[in-house]
Amino acid sequence: MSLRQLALQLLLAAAALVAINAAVTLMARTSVPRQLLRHGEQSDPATDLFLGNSTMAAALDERVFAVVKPGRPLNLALGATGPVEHCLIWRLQSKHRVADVYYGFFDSQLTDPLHGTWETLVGNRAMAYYVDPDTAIDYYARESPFKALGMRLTANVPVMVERLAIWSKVEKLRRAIGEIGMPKRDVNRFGRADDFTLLEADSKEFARRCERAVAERQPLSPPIAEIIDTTRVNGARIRVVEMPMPAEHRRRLNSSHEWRSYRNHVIELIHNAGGDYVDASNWIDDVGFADNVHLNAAGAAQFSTRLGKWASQNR
Amino acid sequence: MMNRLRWIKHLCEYLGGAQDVSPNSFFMPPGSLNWGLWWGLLAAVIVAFCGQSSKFIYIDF
Repeated sequence: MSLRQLALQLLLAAAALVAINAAVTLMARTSVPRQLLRHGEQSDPATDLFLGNSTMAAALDERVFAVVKPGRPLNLALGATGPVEHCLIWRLQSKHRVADVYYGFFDSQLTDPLHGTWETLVGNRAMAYYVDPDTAIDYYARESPFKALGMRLTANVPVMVERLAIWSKVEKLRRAIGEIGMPKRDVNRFGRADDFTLLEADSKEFARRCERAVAERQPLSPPIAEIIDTTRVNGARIRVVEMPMPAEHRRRLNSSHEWRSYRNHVIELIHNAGGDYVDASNWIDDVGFADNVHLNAAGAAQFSTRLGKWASQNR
Repeated sequence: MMNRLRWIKHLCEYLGGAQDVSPNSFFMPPGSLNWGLWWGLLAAVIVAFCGQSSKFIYIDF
C-alpha cells in the first residue's frame, strides 16, 4: 500500500467522523434539555418556577397548581440531572427572575459533593457541555485544570457529548429484543419502573453520609446555594421542597436519628440563606406513586394542590 | 445457513483484526479506500459506546 493510499484512507476516516458528528448533532437537536429550555423561553413570565430532578418533573402539575394558587406556574424540572444542571437551567431564566422558586430534592442531595465525570455527564446531564459550559466547568472541575481542559475539548465533539443519542437507540432495541416472548415490563414516562429501585441508597451508608454531613457542618451544595441566593436577591421567595417518597423509602432511610439530625442541619442552612423548607415527604400515600420515586398523575394532582395551598398560605 | 453464519463470523473476526485472512469472496485489498470509512466508523462506535457506567440507562424520559 502506498503512502498516498494511506493518506486517502485517513482522509476518508476523518470525513466519516465529521459526517457522524453532523448526524449526531441533528439527532440531538430535539434533546429533552433543549426542549425544556425552549419551553422556558417561549413561556410567559412565570409567577412560580419549579426546579429539580424527575421527582419534581413528575410531581408538579402546572394546571392543578394554578387552580389553587392562581398565576403562571412553570415546571422546568428535568429528569436524571443534578444541582449543577438545575443551576444552569435557572441561570437561563432571566425572563422568570421574579418568580417564586420551588426546588425539589430527596435524600442528601442538598449537601452531596458535585460529581460530574465523563461517565456521568451523559443524556440530560450532557447539557453541562453545551448550556453555559464555563459555569459547569467551574462547578465540576474548579480544582482540576486537567479535568477542565478535558471538559472543554469534549464540549466541541458532538459524538462525545451526545453519545447517549446513539446509545439510547441501541438500548431500546436491546430491550425490545429482550422482551420477545416475555411479559411486558411496567414502563412509565421516566423509564422502566423497577429500574428505579436501583437508585435506592443503602440505609447504613446513607445514615453514615447524613452523620458525616452534620458532623462536618457541610454547607449547601454551591449550585443550590446560588439558586437560593439569586432568587432572594431578585426579591422572590425560594422554597426548598423535600419531595414525597413512598412509605418504604421513608421507613428505610428517613426514620433514623441521623436523618433527623441531617434534616435539622439543612433546614438551618436554608433558613440562614433566606429560604423556606417544605417537608412534603409524607404528603402522598403509596397509591400515588408510579414507581419507587415518581408520582403518578393522581399523586401529582394531590401534591400540586397541597403545595399550592401551602404557598398561598405562606406568601 | 450454518455456512453463512460461519462466513459472517469469519468476516467479523477479519474486520476486527482477530483473523488475518479474509473469508471467501470477500476481498478488500489493503489499499482500498473502504478501509478509511471502516476506521472512521469504528472510531465513532468506540466513542459512542464508551464510558457507560450507570447502574441503569435512563433513556425513556
